[in-house]
Amino acid sequence: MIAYLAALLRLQAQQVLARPKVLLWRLFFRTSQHGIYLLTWALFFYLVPTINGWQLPQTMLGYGLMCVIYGLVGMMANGLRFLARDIGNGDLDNYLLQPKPLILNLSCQQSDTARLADVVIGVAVIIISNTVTLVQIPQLLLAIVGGVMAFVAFSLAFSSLAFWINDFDEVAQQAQYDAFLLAVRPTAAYTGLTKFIMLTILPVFYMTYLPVESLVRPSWAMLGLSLLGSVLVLTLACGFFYLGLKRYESGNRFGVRS
Amino acid sequence: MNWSEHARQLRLITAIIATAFTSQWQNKPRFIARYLTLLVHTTTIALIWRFIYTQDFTATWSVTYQQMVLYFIVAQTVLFLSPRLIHALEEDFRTQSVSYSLLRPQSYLLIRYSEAIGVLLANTVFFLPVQYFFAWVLIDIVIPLDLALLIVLLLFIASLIHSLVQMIIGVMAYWLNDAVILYRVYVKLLVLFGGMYLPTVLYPDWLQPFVFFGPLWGIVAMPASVTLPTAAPSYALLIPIMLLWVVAMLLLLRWLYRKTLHHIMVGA
Repeated sequence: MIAYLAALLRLQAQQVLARPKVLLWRLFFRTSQHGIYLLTWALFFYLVPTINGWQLPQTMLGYGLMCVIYGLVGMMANGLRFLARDIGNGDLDNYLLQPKPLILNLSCQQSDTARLADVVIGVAVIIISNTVTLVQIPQLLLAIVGGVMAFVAFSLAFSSLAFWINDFDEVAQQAQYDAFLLAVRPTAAYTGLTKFIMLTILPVFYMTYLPVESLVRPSWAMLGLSLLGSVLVLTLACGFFYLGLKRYESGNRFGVRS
Repeated sequence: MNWSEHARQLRLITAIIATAFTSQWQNKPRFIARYLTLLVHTTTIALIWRFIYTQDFTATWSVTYQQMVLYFIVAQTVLFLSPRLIHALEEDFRTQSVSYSLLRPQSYLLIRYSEAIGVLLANTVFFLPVQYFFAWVLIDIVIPLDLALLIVLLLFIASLIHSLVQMIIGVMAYWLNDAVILYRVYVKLLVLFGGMYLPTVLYPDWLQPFVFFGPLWGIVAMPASVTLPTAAPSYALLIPIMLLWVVAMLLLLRWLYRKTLHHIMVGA
């Protein structure tokens, strides 16, 4: 499975590097996009000194973490972005015939190498935030792994709605970006029912809030909780996908290919 | 072009608008999913503001919590009301499939813009009443009818400008190969210079001149700022300025479209 994953990634990297100018343009725009957004939050914290203990450094750490997570998912599993479209068009047939792990195969079918910029910017923002010490790097890496799992879980579950809803690809693609936007906000302000939603249906708390809290107030227990939550939501998301797949396999959509 | 030709064009535009309107309404699950997204965005920011307004330093602010949330509701509605033209145009120009539409007697831009108006009307009918109700539930504000009508008018014009900017970026896909990424930069600029998260009246003095002299302020802050009594601009001035931006964007789009088509035809 790992050899297959490595081969897929190598092939995608070759494809993207074949057009270096396009890659450079995309890197430039991604950097600008993050720069402008961070400036907005800097302005926000110029007016509002603190939100439930979170100041600009904590928000920057959350932003940096989310950039790394978003970038890694885009580079390694960009197929998730188009999963709803593939379901809607009945394009899963090709994958179902292959003796490869289905979700892995679908996720890794495409790669957006320009998301490398997100990873680089994310790391830079984490360094600038000055909230993580060298000793905390293993903790940070685990937080990223947990965040990637939670983001994949959300993308997979949301895109799987396309098994039941027609013409859902645009909404699913936008929702993945919206999850990014929700996660980079100062999540410390969410309480009560919103907190519950962010831990279950919209698992953005596993991407930024819990990792940031576990790094700022060093706590392995909180990080462990965050990782456990990520594994749980990913398992549920896989279950939801296979539930939808049963409907797909039952031939709910008829079409003739010419 | 004679009168009968004008009438025929008008009938065609009306038919496209009606088709786009019906098509948008037919996919109710998509509508609901989109609205839920808007609801989540608005609620989360409202919660952040509610938390902020429990702190002492807000006592000196000229904007109350209710006004701040109402401002944000209107600002977010601009983005959600506007049709997402960017993907369709990006596809047409990146793959150059726009050249097929040149065989038609109608202008490609006219068809796309008519579609956009149809979708915008459908979104207006759906989103605005629920947003009105949401504002009442969330912050216990019943917007007076005259202010509500003014907001609807300004939102409609703002969405027209936003749609035109999307079309301009979509046409640029021919030159850049990926216009969605440029669109995202534009949205971030809208957040910063349009005052999407914060009313621009609260910005530092040195930043305000950069904000007021751009179209981005006209798209978000202009319709949203009518909810802030401290920053209420003259309505008689607002609408002409926004209409001027519509014209400016139309001219820019027309110029860029012609230049791009010329390139596509030479290439073909």
